[in-house]
Amino acid sequence: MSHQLIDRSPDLKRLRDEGYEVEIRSQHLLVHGIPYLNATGTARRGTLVSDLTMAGDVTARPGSHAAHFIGEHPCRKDGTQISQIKHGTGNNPLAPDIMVNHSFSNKPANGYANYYEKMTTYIAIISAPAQSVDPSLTAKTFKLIESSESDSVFKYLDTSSSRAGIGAMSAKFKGLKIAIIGLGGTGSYTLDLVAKTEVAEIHLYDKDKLLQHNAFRSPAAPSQEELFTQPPKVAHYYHLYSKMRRGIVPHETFVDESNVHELADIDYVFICVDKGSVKRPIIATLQAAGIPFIDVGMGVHAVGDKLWATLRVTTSSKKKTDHVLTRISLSDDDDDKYSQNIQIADLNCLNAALAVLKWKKLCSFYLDEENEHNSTYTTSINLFTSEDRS
Amino acid sequence: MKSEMHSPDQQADSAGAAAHGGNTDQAHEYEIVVNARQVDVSKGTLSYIEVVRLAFEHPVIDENTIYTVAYKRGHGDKPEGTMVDGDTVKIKNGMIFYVTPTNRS
Repeated sequence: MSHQLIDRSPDLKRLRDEGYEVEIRSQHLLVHGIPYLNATGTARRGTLVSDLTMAGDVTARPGSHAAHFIGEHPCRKDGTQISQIKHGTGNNPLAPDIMVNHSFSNKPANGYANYYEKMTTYIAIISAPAQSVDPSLTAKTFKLIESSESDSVFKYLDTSSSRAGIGAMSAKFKGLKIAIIGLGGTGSYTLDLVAKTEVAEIHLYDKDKLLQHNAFRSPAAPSQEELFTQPPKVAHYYHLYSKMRRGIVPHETFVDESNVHELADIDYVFICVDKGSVKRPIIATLQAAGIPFIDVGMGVHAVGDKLWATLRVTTSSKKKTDHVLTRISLSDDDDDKYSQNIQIADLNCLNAALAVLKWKKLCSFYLDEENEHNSTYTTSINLFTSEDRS
Repeated sequence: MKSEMHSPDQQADSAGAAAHGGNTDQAHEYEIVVNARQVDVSKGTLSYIEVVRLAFEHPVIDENTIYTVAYKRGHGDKPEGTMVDGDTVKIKNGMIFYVTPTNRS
């Protein structure tokens, strides 16, 4: 939200484009790295804070001329506090995550026309003594610009990739549109993993509501209160993952003949649905359009008081499609005949991880020397198979 | 557990299979495991549908219904893998099959 706000608001965008360290946090505008002199004449950097007057999702004319400061009180070269802006001193939590130390008041006759004018006016007053001592001190540090945060799908930086030095490889997912059809156990774990890549959009298709048993075979830990409201799964996961990233698109519907055409501009599709019969139009549409997809499924059985399971990951790619109907059941008849719909979180999670891993191979993130388009894992004999090579 | 019980037989059979030169011996009884149950079969080769029928008493056999068949400890040229409709596999003592619909997600 904060990046879109900055992009859409000309005054905030101008601040950022000129190199100011602009941050939107808890409905406040923060400009970090403002140079000033403290009472002993030492150059420091502090943060100028303003509340935000909004008109919908862009800034409006500032409603208040007052501003706040995180740091020591800015002083003149002689060590006296700058009285032109002085208003009050004392710790004041403007928001749970914003604690300011001083408040300033400097009111032009006609107020401030916009936040660019407001912030640069205060910055000029605050920084003037410091710049008089050292002209190289500037608030235009370009610090956040370097992070190219503004065009990231993430609401905070993917420091995992940057720490590991695999940013360039992670960028292979950038801009992709993904659809996950079905948000049962495997679909929800698939979302969890795909959400942590730089894909542009993740379209979620499911009509079911989140019920108590779902909590035990899906990622994270919904509260009792959340479960009481029985939210649609797509809404639940939209809110859960929108804390971290943009581009989650909920579709509270199943995919059938009436809406399967919506998949036409998707780059990769994960099919994570139980009913075989609904897969026919999806597979036909995707293969006709040349869209790669990965279909997952498992069977879990009890023998005495122990379980065994086989997981399956079937891939249809631009290179190979002809095996798909030998691997994916399109029938509903086999549904309840022998299996009791046993599902276990770790099996859902592994099936999802295997599907996502294969997708990352299709994206050339992981090396793929096998090029298998069907893979299974059977727990009881610890057997991985890989067949239908392209 | 069961597979470990069979490992001496499995070794004995490896020699036997070599002596037969891979011919299917209709008289020979093979002890295999299907879905964790021990099964005796008299054929040296099994088809996908035959394996499915060993796994389930009344399987759904039609063109839309697909079972995932995985096996391990088979013959040396392809000791493990999966089977689809139309496939056959050479049988060996101690061979293990797991058969299930894989339609749950």
